[in-house]
Amino acid sequence: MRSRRFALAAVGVVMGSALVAPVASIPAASAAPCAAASGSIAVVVDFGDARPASAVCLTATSADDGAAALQARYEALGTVPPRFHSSGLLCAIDGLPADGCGEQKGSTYAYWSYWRGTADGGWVYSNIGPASSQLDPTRVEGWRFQPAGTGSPNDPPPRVSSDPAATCPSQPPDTSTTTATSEPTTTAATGSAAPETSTSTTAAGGATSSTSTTLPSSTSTSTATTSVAAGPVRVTDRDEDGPVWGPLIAGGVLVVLGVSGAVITRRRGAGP
Amino acid sequence: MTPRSLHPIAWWVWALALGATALQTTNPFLLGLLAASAWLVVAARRPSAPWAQSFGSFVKLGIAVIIVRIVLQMLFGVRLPGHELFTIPSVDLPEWAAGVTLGGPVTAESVIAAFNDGLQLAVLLTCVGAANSLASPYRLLRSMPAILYELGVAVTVALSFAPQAVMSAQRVREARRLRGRPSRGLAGLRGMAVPVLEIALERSLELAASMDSRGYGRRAPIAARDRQLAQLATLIGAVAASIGVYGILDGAAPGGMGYPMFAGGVALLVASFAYAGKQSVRTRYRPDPWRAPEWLVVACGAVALAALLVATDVGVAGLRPDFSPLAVPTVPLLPAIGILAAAVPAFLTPALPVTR
Amino acid sequence: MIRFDRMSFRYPDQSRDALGDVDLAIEEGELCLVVGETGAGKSTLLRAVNGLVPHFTGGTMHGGVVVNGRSTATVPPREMASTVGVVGQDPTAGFVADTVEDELAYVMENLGTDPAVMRRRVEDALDLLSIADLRDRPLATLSSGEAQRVAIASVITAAPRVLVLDEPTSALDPGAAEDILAALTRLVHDLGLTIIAAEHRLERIVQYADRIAVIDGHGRVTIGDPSDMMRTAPVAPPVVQLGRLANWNPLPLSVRDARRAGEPLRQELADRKAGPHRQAAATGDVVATVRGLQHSYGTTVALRGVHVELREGEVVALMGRNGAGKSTLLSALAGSRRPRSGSVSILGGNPRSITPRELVRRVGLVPPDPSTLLYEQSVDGECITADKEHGLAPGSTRSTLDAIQPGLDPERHPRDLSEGERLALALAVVVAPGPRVLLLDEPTRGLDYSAKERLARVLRRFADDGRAVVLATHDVELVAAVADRAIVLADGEVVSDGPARDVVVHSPVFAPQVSKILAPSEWLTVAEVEAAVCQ
Repeated sequence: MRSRRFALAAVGVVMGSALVAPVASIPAASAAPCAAASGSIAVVVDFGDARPASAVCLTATSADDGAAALQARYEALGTVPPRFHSSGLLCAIDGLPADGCGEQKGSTYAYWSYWRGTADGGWVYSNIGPASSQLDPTRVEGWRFQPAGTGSPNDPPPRVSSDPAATCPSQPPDTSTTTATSEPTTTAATGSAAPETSTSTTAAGGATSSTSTTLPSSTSTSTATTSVAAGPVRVTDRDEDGPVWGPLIAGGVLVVLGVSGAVITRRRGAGP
Repeated sequence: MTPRSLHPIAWWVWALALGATALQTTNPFLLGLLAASAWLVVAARRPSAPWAQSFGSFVKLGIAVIIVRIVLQMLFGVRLPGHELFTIPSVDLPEWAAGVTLGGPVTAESVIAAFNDGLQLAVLLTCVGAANSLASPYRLLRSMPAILYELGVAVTVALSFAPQAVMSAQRVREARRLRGRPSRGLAGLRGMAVPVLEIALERSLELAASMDSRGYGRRAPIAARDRQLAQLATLIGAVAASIGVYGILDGAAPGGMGYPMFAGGVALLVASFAYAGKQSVRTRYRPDPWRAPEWLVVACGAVALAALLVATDVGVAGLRPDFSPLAVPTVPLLPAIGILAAAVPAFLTPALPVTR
Repeated sequence: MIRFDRMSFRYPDQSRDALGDVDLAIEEGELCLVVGETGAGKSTLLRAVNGLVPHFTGGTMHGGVVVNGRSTATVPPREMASTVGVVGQDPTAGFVADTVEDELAYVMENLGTDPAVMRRRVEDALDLLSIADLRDRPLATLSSGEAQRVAIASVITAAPRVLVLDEPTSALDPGAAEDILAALTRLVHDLGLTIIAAEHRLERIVQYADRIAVIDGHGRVTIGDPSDMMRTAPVAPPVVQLGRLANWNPLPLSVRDARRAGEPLRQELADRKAGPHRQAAATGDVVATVRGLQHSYGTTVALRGVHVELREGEVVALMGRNGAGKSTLLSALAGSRRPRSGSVSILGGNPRSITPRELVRRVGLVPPDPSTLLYEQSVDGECITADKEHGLAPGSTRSTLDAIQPGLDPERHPRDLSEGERLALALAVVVAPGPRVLLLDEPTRGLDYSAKERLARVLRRFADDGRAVVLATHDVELVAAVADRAIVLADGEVVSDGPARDVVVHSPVFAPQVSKILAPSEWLTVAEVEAAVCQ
């Protein structure tokens, strides 16, 4: 009896904390503020269609994984958060695709393929998911959406160079560190310059970013990258305000059903 | 409507339809509505016989499944990024186990995702539990085709073994306590196993003698060659049906391996069952009627399943919500209403007869 | 109808024949009673009628058994189901279905009976056994008397010519036993069924028997007229014992016949008083008290405010019909159940708060099925384990056992012992640590008269050693033989509590046969009469 109660309490605690967490808005699981960054990491996203690829330079420690890099990327760019399946499979970046996760069409899949840059500018297909793979700051993180892929290394890699220097040029951190802007600022932190995270060093502009990992996101490199993956769904934050009618009604119906069941049982048990 | 209990196969079809519905979605609201509908029907239509009280055990089992799933996710699961709750000390695994993580930070997203996965299983268990509570196993056994009868008897006797074993275990534990021996814990368990099994064996022998004396196992004589032919047909039919199922599920299989093979296998099985049924001499006492209420029950289950299948086909959003990023999942209207149809048998079926 | 033709049978791996050279014929429409001591082979004889012996049990059979023209050697039991119906010792163990009606129909389904005929026969069986109101009841909720009637009905529906019953009344209280006997006589006289029944409790059934078959200790069977057979049978109810003592001829088998024959005996005993074998009220110390005990199982109330005091040196009989609360009271005394309210104290301590090791030194309970207490593989193993558990000198349990039941083979498995031997072993194990309070719950199931006499002597000895012995039973003969005090429970309350003699003698339900025969004088047992006559 007691163990059952304990188990229920444990579930309740876990569920409660899980529901409370978004309200408290604990910062993401990337590196802590003012932590000594061990490098910058370049994340390249190729949407698989005519849109230009997006490349971002982020600060990350090698303790992070690919999923954290994607989180940091979305915070830097101000787009929608990446969507993950419960098994750890990445479903959507920047809202593409709007629904579904690795859907199968016939014998092909529409999914996001995960690549790692090699030293000679090529790409290596990663068989490990983003949440399980540790970052290597000297390599570029690459993503390409495959509308009709086979789930094997035969799928085409991102159409971008895998040279980290192309995305993260080694320039001193200079300018404002506003995160959500699309101004092509020239600065980007390099691996050498130490605490890029302390944005207080930069003079001008409000260091608005509170999350420490992000740096001036946009780059001004000449390669066919533009900053800010503006393409698909733009920053429509999920509307947290206003009651969500569907779930409320459903919850209400649930409670009504459960209670009526209990009442019926009580009445039938007491009857004869 | 005159009070009567419904045909057990109607309840099982309803419950299995609900189970298949649960497999189509991982939306917690839809799953919750499904479980609540099943609970309502059970509360309204379950008889007061001892075998009908097992619904609670299935629900508890489902809750245990959810808890185990959450714990496993916390320990071994892939870490979905998001809001961290706490951190379990992690262990770095070598390269060959690169896909597995031990420990690490536990995020709310992964806990909720694990809860959802477990919820689907738990609701499936609830549906099976509902069928168990609504349909008498003995009456279900009697509705089986003759060829399955003896197998069904074994299952029914085994089903009644568990409560018997529990009762005799209680008596033995009491007796051990009376002798001053430990009755709890591992030491108690060892000393109880032998007497409980001995009691169970004796009761089984008594039951077997009683059934034997009452004609169990009588057969009409059938030529040996015919019987072997029927057995061969059963075997081929079963194999063909399995291959057919595989062909249906695997998209890359050649066309002839799917539905045609399955249909052929099932036809062969049915034929061999029907032939072997001639061997049995059993008759049925007051077989359960199959009338409008049974059709209604089956229809309600079919409506729920159909609503979900249609929604999946059309591509209604929200059937399989993702929880990273964390958001309250939407409740698609069509499937929700279809699922609520599953609760209709609680009201529109005949009430149970009142036993003295 | 039934013919045993020089039949002898030996179980597999046995060195002795279970039945030897049985040669008897039972006519149609007879109620044949099979008597004998425990282990004599009654069950074997009964099972041979429908072929369970040898088809189900294995073993070798010589000779043959022919029932209504069909030989059991060639016809297996499942084909005999339409001719012979068998009800075992534990009817609930044979239940297959959920409800009573389905159970009744089970045998007909197996036989392939036409559905319309099945309907009719089920209704007839419900009426014959007066269980029409039980039709939809789940089988698990039946009382033992109802379960026995349902078991009989479930074989009657096949319209057999022969009905075989193994101890139909042994687990029943007197009222339920009377119902069963009435049903059986109705089947015999109205339907012309042939009934063979084995019984230990012969008091009520012996008068209805048309013939009696006696199995002696060597597996030999003799059959004959009841009065003649009873004159020399190894087991005999009190009325027969009294008849033998008083040399009545012909030997009366019922209370009525004995009263007619017993006029001279009553005259002779009129001036003698039944010597008080024991004190009217024990004067020993109080060893256990129960105050205001209330207990319930779910919504059924089992005990309502029971007050009982137990003193050392007395044997208390707890009587009442099934479901009156006897077992609950004993369990509460042994600390097995937490009462809803009220208190229980054994030698000053609450049994629920004493550790089990200490509790067994104060109170011991022998449950209705003693084999749940036994878990070793041999008699010797049990004794050695009991010695070790309670820190006794090696061999002390064995000597206790020998004092209760001498001559038990130490290598035998406890489950192979007869009922009386198992009870003796369980008693020895429970008594080994020396409890001051000894409780027995329905110990007489399956015991023959000599075993009961032995039990009575043993209990008397325990009481004289300074223990309080409580015996929950509805065997009135045992109560008359050994009890000092009788407590009658009904519906969870104490209805009467006083000296056994006063409580049982004038009650129509609880009076032993001797007192009914010799009423209005107050005699309880044949031993008392013998002592008075032979002075």
